[in-house]
Amino acid sequence: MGRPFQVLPGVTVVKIGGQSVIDRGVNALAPILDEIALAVEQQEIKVLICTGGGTRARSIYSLASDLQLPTGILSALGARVPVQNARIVQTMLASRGGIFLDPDMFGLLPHYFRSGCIPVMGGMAPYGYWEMRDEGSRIPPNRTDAGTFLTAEYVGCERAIFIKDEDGLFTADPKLTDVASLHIPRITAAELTARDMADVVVERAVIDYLPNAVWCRELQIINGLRPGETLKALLGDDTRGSIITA
Amino acid sequence: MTDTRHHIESQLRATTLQRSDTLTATDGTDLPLLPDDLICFIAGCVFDAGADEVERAADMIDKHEAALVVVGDGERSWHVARIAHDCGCPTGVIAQVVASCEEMNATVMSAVLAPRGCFIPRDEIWHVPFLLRQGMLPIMLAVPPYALWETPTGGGLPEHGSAFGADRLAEALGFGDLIEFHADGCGGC
Repeated sequence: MGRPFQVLPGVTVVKIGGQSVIDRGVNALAPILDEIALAVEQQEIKVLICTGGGTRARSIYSLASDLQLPTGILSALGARVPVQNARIVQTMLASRGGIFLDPDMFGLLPHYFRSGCIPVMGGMAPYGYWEMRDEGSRIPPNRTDAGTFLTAEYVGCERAIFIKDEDGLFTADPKLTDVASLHIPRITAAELTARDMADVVVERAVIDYLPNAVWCRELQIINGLRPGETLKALLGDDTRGSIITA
Repeated sequence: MTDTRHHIESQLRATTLQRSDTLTATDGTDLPLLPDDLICFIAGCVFDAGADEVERAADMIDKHEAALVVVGDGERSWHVARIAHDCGCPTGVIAQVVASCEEMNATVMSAVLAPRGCFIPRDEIWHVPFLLRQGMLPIMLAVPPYALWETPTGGGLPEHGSAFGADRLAEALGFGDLIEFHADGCGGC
């Protein structure tokens, strides 16, 4: 029995960060969407966009946690926010082929791509009330990074791109430390786990899943606030940001 | 550097949701939402064993004042999973078709438990407390809705089955008790 086939060869799954990008508004978001649309229009690259949540997700997690509600309810609540962001992104991209993708409509993806569309969906994995709980926290472990990675794994995207506001991984959080932190251009999931870093730029669940992936064996985390960075990554430039490999 | 992000004030404001101290601040015992209610999980082996076992489980459930009934899959799901796996389908597709087998068992159970049995789609989960107060036996699928987003298994079968799903739902809604029904002699599937 060989490995499962690639469902949609040539599709790149891209996540646009919620807190890191979308919460900044049009100044951050519009140039990134323009670069994605250019890649689709001029380079005939097929892109599926997943959106992150951001500060509204944190706000509702905080309220629900204070009310002692279970993780499954937090997950169901948190799933609403990225869909709001997906509606905004899809509308901004509508004139250039942006189309809202309901997770139940994945069977239409081949049609959308053949039509030159850019499907946009909320990035949260639809675990909802059935979400797992990590020990020591109520926060759902599978959020929009996990949903994006699992989407990439399903369609057969070999390198998922995560557009955030940092150049990938650092030895310390560049937002919190005054000490010059060192950039990590490339690292395996096992090495990253072994470092046991206090903070990481992608959800830990994704790092755990990566070694078992069949198709999505690489994650590229880039700084979409840098002009041109998104387009370069979509064209396959693996020197941008950081790459986490299986 | 100026923070150009638009934030909402909360204890999780501007956090990455990755740091252990941030996460620990959200830990604690969950509020039990339905502590006096019962959830019954009918494993797939009950349906595989045939009509007598299905009726036996239904009779036992029907004795309760009310209960949420979640149904598992069984041999039809193993069959379709094997074929999908053999055809090279990704793990997520296998999870999706397995869930569809539970829909058949849920329909059977809705009929057998009529007029108290009523199938509830996942999106209508918040009808469950109301139906329990009406003395009904709402019926849902046990398997979690991970479907295409099933966690990777290196190309193998999905890891999260109906028993896992029943347990997660029992915890999310804070049921007081979970009873499992298996076919006579199954030994715990």
